[in-house]
Amino acid sequence: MRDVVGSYPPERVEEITNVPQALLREAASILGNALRVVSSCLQGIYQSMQATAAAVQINNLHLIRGLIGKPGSTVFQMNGQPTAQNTRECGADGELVAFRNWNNERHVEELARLWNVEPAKIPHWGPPTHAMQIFRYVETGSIRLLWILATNPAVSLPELARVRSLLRKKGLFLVAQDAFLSETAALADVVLPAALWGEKTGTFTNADRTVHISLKAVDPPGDARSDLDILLDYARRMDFRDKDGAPFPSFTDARGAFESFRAATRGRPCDYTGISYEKLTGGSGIQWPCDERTGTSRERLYEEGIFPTGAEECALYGHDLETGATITEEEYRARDPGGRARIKAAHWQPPYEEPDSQFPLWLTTGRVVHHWHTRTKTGRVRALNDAAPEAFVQFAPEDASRLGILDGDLVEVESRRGKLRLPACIGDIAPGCAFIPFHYGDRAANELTVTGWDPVSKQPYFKYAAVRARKVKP
Amino acid sequence: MIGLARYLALLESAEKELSAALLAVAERHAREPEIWQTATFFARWSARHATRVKEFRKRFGPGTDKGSRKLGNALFQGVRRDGIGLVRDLHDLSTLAHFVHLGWDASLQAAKALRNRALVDAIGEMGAETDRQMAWLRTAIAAMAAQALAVPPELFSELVASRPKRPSSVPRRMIRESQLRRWIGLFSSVEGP
Repeated sequence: MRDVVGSYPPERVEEITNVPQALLREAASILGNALRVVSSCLQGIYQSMQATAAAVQINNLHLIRGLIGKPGSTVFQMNGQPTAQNTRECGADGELVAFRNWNNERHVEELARLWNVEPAKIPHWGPPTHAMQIFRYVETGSIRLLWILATNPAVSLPELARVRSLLRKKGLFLVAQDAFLSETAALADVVLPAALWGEKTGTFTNADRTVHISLKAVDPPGDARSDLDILLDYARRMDFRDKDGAPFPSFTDARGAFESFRAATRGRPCDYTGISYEKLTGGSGIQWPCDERTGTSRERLYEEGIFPTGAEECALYGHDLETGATITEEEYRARDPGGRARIKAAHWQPPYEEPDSQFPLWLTTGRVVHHWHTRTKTGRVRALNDAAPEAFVQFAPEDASRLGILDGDLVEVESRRGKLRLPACIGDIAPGCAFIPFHYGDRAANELTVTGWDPVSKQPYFKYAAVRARKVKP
Repeated sequence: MIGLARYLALLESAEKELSAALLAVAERHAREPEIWQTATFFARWSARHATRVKEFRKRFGPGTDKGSRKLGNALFQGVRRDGIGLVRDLHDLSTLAHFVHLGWDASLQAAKALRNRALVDAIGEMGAETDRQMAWLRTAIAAMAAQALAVPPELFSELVASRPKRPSSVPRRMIRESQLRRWIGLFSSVEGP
């Protein structure tokens, strides 16, 4: 890390980032001297060029200063969606349950024992196939049935013209499972109506590891059923069986699913064995790890400076941050950190698309406070919709006056992939940049974004693309 | 003249061969963003290695070896359309990268025997980058092989999906890469000195 960072003196960083040296030095002095630091980061980091490398540097700052695992000092690597922490823990992101390592045969065997299936039944021949790659397989035709649950790729994925043509593709059987007829569901061959959070029981875990129970308040309308019920119905109709011939999975409801997951967390970093539906229902949330022996949960992790990095314990052997190449088990074992944190650095790489004379502005996409994701729910709440009814494009005053654009003018924004007409909003943004919220399906920012993703996390690049803008008549 | 001159010439042409092949594969599979991103990134590493090793080679005399060129010509044959074609391309790139890797191994021994500290250090740095290229190629093959080899293809979609990208959707850096490619010389037309 010293070698890499040493080749980026403040002068060079200013050149790359346009952040003045004086401010860089001031930031360094704050981070270098502060007695307590809490950092939190989200999509601004995760959807930029070199996203994983950047997120890791935030961890590094805390590690080298020892600002972790004590009051007033921690890192919150946040998740963008409310159940995203859960999906990481329970294996719904394609990883294995309870931070097990798909590349560690013993972890796979352990899970196979818990589920009473042969280890070969558990997909672990390669890394999980990420969403962007799944869509590429749809494009090349090797995936011919796609089942989309509770998300809206027809608005949320980059380069929408491409995504729409994939979803409409002849030969693709598309199933969409959602509470509302989203833009994606409108393209589906079959729509499975699903219950919303108030219409089903289950647990949520937030980014500080607090598990909450969410009890069903009302019945879902019409034919809608909970996602779990739909998936269990599918499993039964497919007649999935464990190795003794019993129906798989063995549970039949949310509580049973929780018990099954709870058993799978025993001895893992996210130990849930001391958490139960009874305890969750009795009071407030409970943080993991909470094991059944002590029954107490831990408020802080890493207090002793020990991390789950041992070769036998870790969830991943890790990657080359610049290339995404995976580190093999042998390589990892040869330098087993055995509980020590690992410091990784990466050299700067320019983004794959940069402003030029044709497309002179940086496009960055993001959120407004009133809406969540693609407005499937928030767009139906009158107060939120009234507060933020339509998409817009935001410019700095310098750029707006150069382009002859006034606040509220209709502007055409164009990238190499598509164009949009949006009202302009002037101010509160750096010169040279244009911001468009990604929520709106009718004029979606993702018409303009690039197909590309971080080599480690596989998150798409939503925070940069080159665009041009001009005023048009309404 | 010592044999090291021939080995450094072999490495110089092998890195040019690898760089050109990486760019050719990147362009052929431009619709696979992760492939073209990383392959063009690695092409720059290999081009840089070729330039750096040339400086050392000049000091040891006029070595020459046509092995890399012949290897490059023997590889990348047959249909290289999407899916399995990509895995085959990555497979051939790995072969070239291994060839380079062994070249570093052999040259490193000679550099140590000659107590040439500068060359030992340079090979150490470049060899570490070759290792990272090989690790990525292995990772990419592992990630794609199951879908490419175990699932029956749908030929029409494959054909449509492997058409080259429209020029308007190819970002500027790709064009810069083409310039780089011209500079290196067209794929497999690279001659040793």
